[in-house]
Amino acid sequence: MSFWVSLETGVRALRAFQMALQTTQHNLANAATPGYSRQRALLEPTLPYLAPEGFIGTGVQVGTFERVRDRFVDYHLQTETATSGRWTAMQKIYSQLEVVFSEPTERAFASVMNAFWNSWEDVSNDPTDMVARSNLVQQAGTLADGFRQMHQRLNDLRLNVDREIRAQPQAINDMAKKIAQINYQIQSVEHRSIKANDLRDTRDKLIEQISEIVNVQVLESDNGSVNLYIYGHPLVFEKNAFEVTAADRAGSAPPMAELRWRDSGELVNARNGRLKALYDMRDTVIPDSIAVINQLATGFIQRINAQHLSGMGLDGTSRIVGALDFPGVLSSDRTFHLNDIPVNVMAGDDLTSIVARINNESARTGVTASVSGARLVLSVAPGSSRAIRVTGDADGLMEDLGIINPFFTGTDASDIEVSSAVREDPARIAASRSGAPGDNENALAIIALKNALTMNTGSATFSDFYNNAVARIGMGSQEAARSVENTGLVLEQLENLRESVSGVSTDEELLKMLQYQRAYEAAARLISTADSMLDTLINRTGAGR
Amino acid sequence: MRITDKIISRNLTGSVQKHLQDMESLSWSASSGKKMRRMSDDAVAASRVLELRSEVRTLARYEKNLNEAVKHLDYVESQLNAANQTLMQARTISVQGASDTTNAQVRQALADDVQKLRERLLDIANARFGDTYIFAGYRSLTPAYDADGRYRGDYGERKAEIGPGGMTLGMNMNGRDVFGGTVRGTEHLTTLRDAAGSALGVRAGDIISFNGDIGGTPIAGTLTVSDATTLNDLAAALQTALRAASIPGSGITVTVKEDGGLRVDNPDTAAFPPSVIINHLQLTVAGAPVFSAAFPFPAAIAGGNDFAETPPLRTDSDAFAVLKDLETALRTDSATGVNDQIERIQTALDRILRARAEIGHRVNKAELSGTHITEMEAVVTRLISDEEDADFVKTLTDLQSVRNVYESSLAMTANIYRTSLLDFIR
Repeated sequence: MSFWVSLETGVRALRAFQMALQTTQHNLANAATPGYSRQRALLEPTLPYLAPEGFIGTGVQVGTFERVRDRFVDYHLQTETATSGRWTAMQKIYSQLEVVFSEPTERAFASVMNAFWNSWEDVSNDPTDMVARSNLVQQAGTLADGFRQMHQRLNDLRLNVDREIRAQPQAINDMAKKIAQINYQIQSVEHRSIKANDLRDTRDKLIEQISEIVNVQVLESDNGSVNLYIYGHPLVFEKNAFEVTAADRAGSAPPMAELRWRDSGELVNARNGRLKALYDMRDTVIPDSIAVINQLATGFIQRINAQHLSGMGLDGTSRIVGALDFPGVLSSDRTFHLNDIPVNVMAGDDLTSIVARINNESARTGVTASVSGARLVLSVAPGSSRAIRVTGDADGLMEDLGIINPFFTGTDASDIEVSSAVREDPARIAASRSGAPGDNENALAIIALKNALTMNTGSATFSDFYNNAVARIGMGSQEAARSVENTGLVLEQLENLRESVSGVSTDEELLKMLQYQRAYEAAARLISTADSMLDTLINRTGAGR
Repeated sequence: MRITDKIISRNLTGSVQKHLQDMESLSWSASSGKKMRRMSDDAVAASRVLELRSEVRTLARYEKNLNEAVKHLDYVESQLNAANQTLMQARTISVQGASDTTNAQVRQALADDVQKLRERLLDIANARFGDTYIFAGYRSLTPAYDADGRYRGDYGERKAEIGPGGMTLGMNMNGRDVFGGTVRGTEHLTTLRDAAGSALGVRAGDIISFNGDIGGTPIAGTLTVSDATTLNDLAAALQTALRAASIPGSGITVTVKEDGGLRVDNPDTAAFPPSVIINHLQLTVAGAPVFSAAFPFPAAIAGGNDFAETPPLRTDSDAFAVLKDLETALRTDSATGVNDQIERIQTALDRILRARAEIGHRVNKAELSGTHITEMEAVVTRLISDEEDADFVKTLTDLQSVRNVYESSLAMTANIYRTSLLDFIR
């Protein structure tokens, strides 16, 4: 045993504690860095040497710098991050959807529908009042605008979601590339007990970010690489990243994107994460809402038109001027009833021939026809008490000529509009059944549609149907909001758990700092003690005396 | 569990956020008075509110319609009152004119009075509410009666929706039900007059026979007249006789037209081909052709939508005809002629009385419905309030307690952060 050994032991201790102190410093410096895991210098005794008396210790060294991390918590966090990402994205879009419907505020679509029915009631209470009629045209226009606007907004929202889906591959590919790069760096840096702790932290953070977008399966291999899979297909394997790309779905109009693997062209199977939420909202929830609005508009158009066509306008008493030009000839035979008398017209008839055929029956119908411009005019003899009443227009001839008018035109929410004939002259609103101006029976029949079971194959009124749809969106939104809150709590718990394992506690580090400082001081004292012992041995023993 | 600075700070940020959100939503509740801002705040309650709100709107609408209808009914009632007074004056005049002590000169003056009364009654019958002739039925843009006192309206009753399930209230009365005029079928045959105003002259006990033939088959049938026999009964008997004479199953109909004439229709071409025609149809009493002026059926009615109509009949107590007859009787100085009119004026007055009773009945119904609607509105509004209105006291108390929690959590954290091992290392 030599004094040099003692000195050597002291120096080793000094270096070890210096390194340990540096780790503490690193920890303290990164106390606020997100994703950072605290590191620990693992001190271990150096190899002892065998003296005749037995093993004698030779001091301390830093075995390795350990990253304190719980893989189990990491795994849980990744799954929960995906779920949280999904619900957060859902809630965001749902709240936009709620804004489109803007219920239950007073200015929402339900009030527009109500104002429409109210205007019909006003017309019904005084069918000859032109102000009430003009007001009805206005309100019906507002209703039609409301439908079209909602349809437009829902479609815009759907396209926005689609745009967001198209933006996802960029983010996924960027992160996958970075992870592959880190895999490569770790592979080249690490060997045996040396760990690239900070690179690993960065990589874990990236995996978490990717999990938020799409669910990934994480497998760590022995060489320090992590491999990411999305339902079996590798996203990152060792130092290679596999790109995803957004492609238009076949046969979708307007074109809707879906994510595919660039190499194989197969679909990226997203079952969780933001991507899943975007798909769900774009392909199910928003289209459902659009369908509801369309069904409602179609219901309004069909039911109100059917009733409206069977009534007569204010001008129905003595003279009706057709609202539509009829420049051509008929393509088929048609029949309609004028004051209950059937009038037959034949294929090939032009407007003049139709007029002649109506006039052939005028002795019985009391109605004479003439032409004004390219429009048909029906009238009764001046002073006659007879009215013009058109019924049984099953072939739609009188509709084509604009003698009787549909109230709405269009087929669904995208193109519903108050018919131009009615807008041109509100007197054409068919409030009357008999043609007499004070008759409100047809208006009452239209108002009765408000409470009639017109929707859902005869199980709901217009407003039931609308309210149900809005309630469904509300409940979806509520569920999303609640889930965001719940997954948020779970995430917080898990993050606290991870923080509890991996987080830096300044007090703890300060304690360690003191500990290492004292140990360093002690080691230094050891060296000076060894030095003074050496001094005694060399200078005070009397070889030269 | 190992606690680090980050856990403390994250918990703090989390709870501060939570408290701030709570405070924001509570202060929104306090300022708006509502519990819900979005559907997602409470979807079930929100959908119930949507339903209830449409219920309230419907009720409000019923109420508005009801008020509108009552306004119309009040106006009708005021006109009926005026008509009543006018006819009462006419009755007084007729009593005076029937008296033997009244001389021809006075009767001339009375005749002038009656003429004025008739003009006034015509004005009342053509009264307008807004631009609506209230006694003209659906033909409300044109006067109900022409200068000769002939009814030009129809029998349309404009209805206002005042309750669920198609509960309606008539807003107008047609002139015929108030002043008389054309007949609708329910009038007794013995009281009817032809288009020119002459009595039909049918008496109880008369037997009306139908004569004629359809394609050679004789029409046979009779109707024994009583005081209760109506024009509808005559139409029904005539229809039975015509059907019996034609091909079995044919659909000949006899109806009382809207203007009070009879109409024979043969809508069924298949069962009653055009070749088979009614050659001849006559109504006789005791073998003598009567009603020839009232029922001038044409010689031939072919099949296939062909039809025959007669001119309209008039009721005996048509107020304008009665006043016209009274004026004529006074001018011709006929005490008995005047006396004949007294009973007819009473009948006309009775009709107005019935109309007033009907209006009174409707106003009652309106009041009842109005009360019911108001009660329902209160209940539903209350329900909405329960669902969506914030409890003010509770909101403010909650707000205060959230603020306390918020402040104390801030204070606590500040305290924890203040202590550190650093403070104790020299």
